[in-house]
Amino acid sequence: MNQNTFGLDRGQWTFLFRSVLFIALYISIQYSPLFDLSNAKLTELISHSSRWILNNVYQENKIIDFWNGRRWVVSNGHSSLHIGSICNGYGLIFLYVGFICSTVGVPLLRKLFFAVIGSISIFIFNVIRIILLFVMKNQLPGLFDLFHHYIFQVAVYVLIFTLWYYYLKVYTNSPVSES
Amino acid sequence: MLFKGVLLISLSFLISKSIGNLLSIFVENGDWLRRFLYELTVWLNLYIGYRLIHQKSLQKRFLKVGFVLDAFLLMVALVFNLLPAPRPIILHQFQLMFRELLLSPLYFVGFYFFMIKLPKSNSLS
Repeated sequence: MNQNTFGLDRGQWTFLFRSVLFIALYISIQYSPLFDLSNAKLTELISHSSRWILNNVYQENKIIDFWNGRRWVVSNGHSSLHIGSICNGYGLIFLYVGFICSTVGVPLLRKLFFAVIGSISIFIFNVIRIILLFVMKNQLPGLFDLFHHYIFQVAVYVLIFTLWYYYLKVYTNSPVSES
Repeated sequence: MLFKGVLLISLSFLISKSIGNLLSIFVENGDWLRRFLYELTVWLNLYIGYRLIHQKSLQKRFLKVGFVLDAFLLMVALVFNLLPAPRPIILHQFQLMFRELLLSPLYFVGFYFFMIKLPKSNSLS
């Protein structure tokens, strides 16, 4: 590919190519048997972590496996919160790591560091989100939908953008070769 | 520019999603109205991005790519609605993916990082 095809340099073309590969990988993984297993494990981990923190800082809760690990229910007897496989942040972690793996000109160690730290941050954010949603369902049920569907969605995007920003910050003005 | 863009597009995203949700609950044919509202929000987001990007050439490219992605979203939505049930899940996934990309600040931020922040690699192996 030429250096300036459509005004994009080689690094940008490589980024685009890798991004498309990642999207294809994301879609194909969803149809593999491994996906069901890993997704259920992530949902279980998030549900148990949330319940453990809720038990220690808020009130005693039960946790019920609803559908072979694909859906968990945290309940205090009065109200309950369903945690499904689409709530576990799998897609967001994939998006975040996909961007990092697609970039060129950043040392591998930095990529690894940000991929791990970012994935853990998204996981922790998700646990905090579930805890707050559970508390909100008990204390402020009117605000539950607003926070569940909108506010937390924007908040997790801001977290991801911030991580990407710091990931690329050092390299903006200095060309670095791929290690 | 990045901060302003994320703030403004997030606001338009929040407002449009809230109104969209209310439309589906209270209005008959709310689903179609909601889709129209989301389309308007996509255009508003493209306009916000266009105004915030300073370089002329990048402004044009931002709009061009945005309109291509929007056209693709509309095409997928149209095909999905024309198909008889059971509809392929992959088309639904594509629809959600593209809608999320254009409604949220993801496209703006992605474009910013891609065109402005991405390191220029002169010696790729």
